[in-house]
Amino acid sequence: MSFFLYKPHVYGPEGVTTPDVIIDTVLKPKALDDQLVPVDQLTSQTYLQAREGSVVNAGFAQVAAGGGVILCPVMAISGGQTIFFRTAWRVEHHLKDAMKLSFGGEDGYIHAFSASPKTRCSAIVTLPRETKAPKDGGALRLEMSCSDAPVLKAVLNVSILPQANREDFDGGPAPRYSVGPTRKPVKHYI
Amino acid sequence: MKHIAYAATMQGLWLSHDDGDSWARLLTPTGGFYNEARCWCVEAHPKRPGEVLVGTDQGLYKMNPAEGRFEYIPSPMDSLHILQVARDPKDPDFIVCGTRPAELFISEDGGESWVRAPLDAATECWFINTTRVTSIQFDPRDADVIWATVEIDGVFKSEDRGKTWTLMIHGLADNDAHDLVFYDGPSGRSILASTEDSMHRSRDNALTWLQEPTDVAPFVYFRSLMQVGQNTGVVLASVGDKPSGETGMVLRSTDVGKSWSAVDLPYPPNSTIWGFGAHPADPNLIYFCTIFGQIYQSKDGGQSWAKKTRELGEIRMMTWEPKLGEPSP
Repeated sequence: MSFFLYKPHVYGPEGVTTPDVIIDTVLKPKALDDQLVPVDQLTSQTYLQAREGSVVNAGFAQVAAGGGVILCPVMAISGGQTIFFRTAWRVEHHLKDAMKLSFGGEDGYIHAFSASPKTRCSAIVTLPRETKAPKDGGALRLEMSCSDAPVLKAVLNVSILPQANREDFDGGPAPRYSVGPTRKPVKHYI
Repeated sequence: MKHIAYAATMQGLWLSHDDGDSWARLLTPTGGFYNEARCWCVEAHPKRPGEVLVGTDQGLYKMNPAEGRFEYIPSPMDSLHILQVARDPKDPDFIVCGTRPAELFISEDGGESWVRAPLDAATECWFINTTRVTSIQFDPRDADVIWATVEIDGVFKSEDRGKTWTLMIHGLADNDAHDLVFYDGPSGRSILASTEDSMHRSRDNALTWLQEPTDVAPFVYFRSLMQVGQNTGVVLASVGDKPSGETGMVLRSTDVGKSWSAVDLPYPPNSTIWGFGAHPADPNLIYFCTIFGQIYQSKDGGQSWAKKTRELGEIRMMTWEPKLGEPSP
């Protein structure tokens, strides 16, 4: 049995909860390829190293949890890896609040969001297409807003900021060995 | 001064709203992170009351005072132990975090994006296996200079706000470095460094170090240092029998460590004193914690101390900040 242990911070009307959620099934929307995503391709790592020119699709995932559904931003990178962001929002026991989400970005793309749940398990419902990962660290900010969510009582603002690995300062650390406290026998325990 | 005290423990972050007498964690359902997360560090910024940062083994978090909870800050450090967090006193959006393994991550936009600094610390250590960052300091004199200590590797200095780093260990008798204090006086700069094997001093901005005996203490395991107020020369040092240890003491100096006196404590520490907690809003109000959970408080700049009744298991760091509405420096 394989699964992905998802550790979201779920925002809702009463505050924020921090459950651990086991995800064992993920279905991409038909607009992409309508395929199951292997759960070993799921991650919540904030920083991933992707090939230059990778295509990034972004959207929301619906995660069945806690007797209802939580929404979380998702990035699907060509090649398979799929990032489930740890920031998420609870939608009470129905999906209607998620139906009117809109999605836009500074890349000039405006994507309609239409929810059509495929399964009672976790599923990515809609992903905007063909968002290119920027080269050379150019920023791509995708703002998602929920203008009509009476239960959620919130506006969803998510910034996705792809960043070139070279933005780490040049000259990464070289492996080096320390013998520890120097020049004398040591009687302590660290 | 009415204040909120914070204690980073191995069972979450604890808060006290009543002068350190009673302590509680945020509500589990809405607090923003797992209540028994291992919290290694907590930082209150002098210019932004309420915006407290907490480093844990499950990521970095920022206090949301309006909602009374912590907000998760996405970062590359989620799977690391975030042991130290420091914000530039002049630019609160410039954040430096130190981790285990010993790496530094820097954000210049309040945590929106991060880069890994080329610290080039040892990646492996025979003595503790994995090295770790023990302190981060912004130089009080030069805004471009940042300092870090690494256990076990030594003292690191950056003169370009973290873009390059240099290991400064010439003369250190022991590379297990823990903490630094800076004093800029009429006769020049003096830096004190606490190490696993006694106190060290540099008079040439860390180019060379000299080991300094402190005969007043029967131990040599120096851990935490702090200066009472800005550039006063009044320094507190914690020293214990060993880590985690079975006892410890506070030394106080009014001449930047040239002479030390042992401070009377009302109750014997049960382990090494791991850290001092202070805030510029009132330099005389200071907390310290032993690693095994004791909390002491001073209201006279560390001359006298009261032990708080409440103990909190294992404490790694303390700080405090004025309650909102109280005067800030």
